[in-house]
Amino acid sequence: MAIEQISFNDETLSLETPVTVTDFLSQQSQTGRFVVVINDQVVSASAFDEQQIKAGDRVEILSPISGG
Amino acid sequence: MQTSDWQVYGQRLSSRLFLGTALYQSPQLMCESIQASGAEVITVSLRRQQAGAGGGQQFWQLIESLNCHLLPNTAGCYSAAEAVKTAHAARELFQTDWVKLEVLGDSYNLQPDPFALLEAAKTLIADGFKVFPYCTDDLVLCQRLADAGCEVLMPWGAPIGTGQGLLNPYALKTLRERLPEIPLLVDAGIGKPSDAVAAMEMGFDGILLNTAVAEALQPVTMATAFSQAINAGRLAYEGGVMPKRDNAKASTPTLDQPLWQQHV
Repeated sequence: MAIEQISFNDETLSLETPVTVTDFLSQQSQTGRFVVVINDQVVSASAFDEQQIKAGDRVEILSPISGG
Repeated sequence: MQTSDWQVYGQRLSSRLFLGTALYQSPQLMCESIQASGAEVITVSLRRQQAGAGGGQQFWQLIESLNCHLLPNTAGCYSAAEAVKTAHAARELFQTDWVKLEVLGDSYNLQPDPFALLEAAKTLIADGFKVFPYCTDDLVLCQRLADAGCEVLMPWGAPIGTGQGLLNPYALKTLRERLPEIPLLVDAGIGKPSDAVAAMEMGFDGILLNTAVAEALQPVTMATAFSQAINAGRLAYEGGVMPKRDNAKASTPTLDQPLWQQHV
């Protein structure tokens, strides 16, 4: 494990990597309905426990909002 | 009297109004307006979530309670790549392969970029999406989108949020005449119910709108007005509007009129 930087919702974040998506979501207190996108690829919820976030990854978490 | 049911991507619908969920003064007003409109399809979107923000859970529960078909959009995308990425995220988030594809080309009038739109549509159709393209009223673009596999087209009436109505009726009529088999909805620019009636009388299959209801003084009342207007416009189309003529023609029979009314 090492302290590395990732991009989270377009901001730089330092954290211990690698980390699973599940652990990352817990660290970031992410709850509710959302979708995780890493390096422009959607990560299905069934892969959260296995997929790891590594140094330099771009992570986005998107949630529902009203739209026209 | 209600209009006949119709289908889009194999989904049978009764209402011909698709309604947006944005810009309402409160979530309750949004729900009441959607219910008053009778809309069976509502548009939604997605945004970045900040830490501990709760995942749009309240909004999600509200729209779930409405029991409508969800049509996620790719609002705010200015490239095919952005729109494709957003569509994939929306499919995972909303669990639907429907997508209202928006790829904008100009930030002044929010006009769709026809080239990027077609590129994104082809990519998404290959990825299994059912694409509802928000497009201009350009005939050739619409033909290309249909050729690419779009089973519905949503040309603008006027730029988003302007409420200017149908700025180019000729182009919209031409689309209807040249693409008689494909469902057409006017999306964007509708300001008042008479705009919707005009589009429906042309033979459009439906209307997608948001601002005209959400920013009305009484959104619930306006939602009802649009519902009735769209119904009336469709019935008028099915009823067959009489042709215009230049000369007056008496509607009261002239046969056996009293002598003093018989003019040479």
